[in-house]
Amino acid sequence: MREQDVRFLRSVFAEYYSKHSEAVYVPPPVNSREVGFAVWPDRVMVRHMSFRSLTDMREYVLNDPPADAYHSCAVYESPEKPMEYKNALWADLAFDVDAKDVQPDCIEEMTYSICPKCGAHRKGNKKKCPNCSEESHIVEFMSSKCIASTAHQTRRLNSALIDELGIEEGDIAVYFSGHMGFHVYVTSKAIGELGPDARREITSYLSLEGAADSYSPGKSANLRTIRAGGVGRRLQEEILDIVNNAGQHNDILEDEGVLLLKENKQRILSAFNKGRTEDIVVLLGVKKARKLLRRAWQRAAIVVDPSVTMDIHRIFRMPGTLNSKSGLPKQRVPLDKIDADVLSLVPEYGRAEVQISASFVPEMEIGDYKVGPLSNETVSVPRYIAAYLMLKGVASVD
Amino acid sequence: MAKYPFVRDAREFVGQHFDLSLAELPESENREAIERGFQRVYQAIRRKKIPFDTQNMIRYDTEVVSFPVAVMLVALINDDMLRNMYATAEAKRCSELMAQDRTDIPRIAEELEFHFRVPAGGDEQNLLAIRLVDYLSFSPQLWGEKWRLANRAVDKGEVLVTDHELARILEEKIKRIILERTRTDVSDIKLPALLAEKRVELADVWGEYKAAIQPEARLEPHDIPPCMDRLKQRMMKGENLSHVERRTLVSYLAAVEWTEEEMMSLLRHSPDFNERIAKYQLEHITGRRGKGKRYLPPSCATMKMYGLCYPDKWCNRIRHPLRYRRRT
Repeated sequence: MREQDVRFLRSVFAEYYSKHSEAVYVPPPVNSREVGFAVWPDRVMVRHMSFRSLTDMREYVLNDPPADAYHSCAVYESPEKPMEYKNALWADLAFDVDAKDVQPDCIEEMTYSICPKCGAHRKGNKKKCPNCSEESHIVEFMSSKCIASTAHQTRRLNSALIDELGIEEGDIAVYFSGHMGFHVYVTSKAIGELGPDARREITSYLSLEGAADSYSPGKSANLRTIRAGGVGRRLQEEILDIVNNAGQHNDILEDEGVLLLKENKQRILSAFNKGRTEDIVVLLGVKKARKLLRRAWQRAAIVVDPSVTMDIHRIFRMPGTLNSKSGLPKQRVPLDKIDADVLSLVPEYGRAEVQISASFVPEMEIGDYKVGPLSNETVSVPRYIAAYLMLKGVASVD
Repeated sequence: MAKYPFVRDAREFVGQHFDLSLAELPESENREAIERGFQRVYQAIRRKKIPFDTQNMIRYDTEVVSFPVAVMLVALINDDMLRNMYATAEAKRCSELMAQDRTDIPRIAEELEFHFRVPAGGDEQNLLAIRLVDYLSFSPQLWGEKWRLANRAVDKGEVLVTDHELARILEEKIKRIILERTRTDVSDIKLPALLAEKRVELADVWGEYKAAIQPEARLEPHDIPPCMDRLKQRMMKGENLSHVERRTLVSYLAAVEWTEEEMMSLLRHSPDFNERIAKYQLEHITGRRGKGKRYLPPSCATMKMYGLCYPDKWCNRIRHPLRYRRRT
């Protein structure tokens, strides 16, 4: 990155923090959390810091605005010591719902390979430029479709946490990560003391990993066991949805299956609710029954990144701080407002216009601002949009 | 009470009659209890189980008092491997007793202050609801497929289990209670003469057992994947790995060319080690027995199914533990 671009980014970040330093937040107890920063110009990580209070930390961030800021989910006896001496007392149960896990194909749609030498750009993840065989610069642009699908997963995650795992609504906090995902924190004493094994099992449970092969017709014993619980309800909802929208599942059921499904709606639902998958086989035949059940299981899974949840020593992006992948802040989202519209919650900063030269930008929107398509052009955009494009490596201050 | 000597009323009984100070005890009266206490630990080492014969029930006081004696002896030897071995054997013994009389199960749960309730309509199927956090804290996902949380009815922070399954969980809880008790610092206690003698005798028995376990011949390979490393570390600590876990670890070690002797010396760390069975299983996995088929370690997908996958950043791109490499 060019020196003047770094200088520009630092000034945009400084502007954000000067207006919104009160948004910078670490869950209590602040003084027992490890804090880390990636610092300009090279975004080198500095870890194992700790602050006495939020006020101290906000002052620090205001004086030296970081590229990225993080805090530990764990609460330590000595947060500033090296890892082996920190001694974790408990840790928030944390979930990362990211588009890359939830719906990889929607990211693909907004991924471009750009040649740093000749500027040629192509859709998708292509390692080398076909013209000059230079290594491509791979860019994932923001997509509200991706955000919408991660938002949907996050809502499902919250319902499962509350209805199935018995977590109080007040113990859950949801944040938009500032890029393409959501972070969910559960702060509760009982859950906080669970070790990595137990946390790993929670993610397995949510994503139905390790579920016995219950979509094999005839193996209904497991279905009968889980019927009384949350997984049973999740499956029931999916079966109901598939049966009600049979036409959309033509790919697995074919016209004949769709017709059978429509005709035998009630019988399929009641067979499933009784845990008698063999009755579904009688109605649809083995192959279609298996495909139907498998699809219901797949859809009933809630996808989260297990490595984030199980690692209690992990540091998470700090709420209210800017994400250097996008220049947008990690932002608290009320449980009833988790949708693609999260960008409308971003507080005001960087509205003044600035001239940039953009190498390549597809047609896209960041919140309510539409930009692109651009190709080797000089344009005037708000400073935060300029920052976004610079952080993606496709623009430079003019 | 003699059946389950760790429960509360037994503790009170022992407290009144014994626990105040071992040093104050007239030896003659407690000779039998000390002998039986020694026997408990001896059997745990040699036979990996503590038999329960009804004759001991007649000597009620002796049987109850022999338990803290055994705990004391294990605490004196001060070796985590012995702690695991003894606690596992005691817990298995209780588990067998609970299996014989299922009415013991809710009683023991109450005594151990393990929370459970009978859910609406649950009594006909012997179903009980226990707290999710309690369930998870025992890592039962490692005990086999049916224990995976995704195969359970989980609702409003509770998990449904049968009474027999609750007994299995209580066995684990008992093991932990006993482990904890054997960790008491006893270095300052003045021992009665007979107990001091028994301590020396036990130290010999244990020393002999340990000498048979050769020190692990191998150094850490650089690129052992985190899932396998975890199993190996747990085995080394003398933890009781499930059958699936052992099979997984052994098939991995065989694939990275550990010798049978090296693997046997690792397996000897397990608290219920049986030379003959271990050797048989090992030969089966390495293909020297049975149809000569060599078992390969499970793929990453299967490891996930088993609940044994603990990925790190180098795991992202691989689908099989044998492909694991740490790139710098």
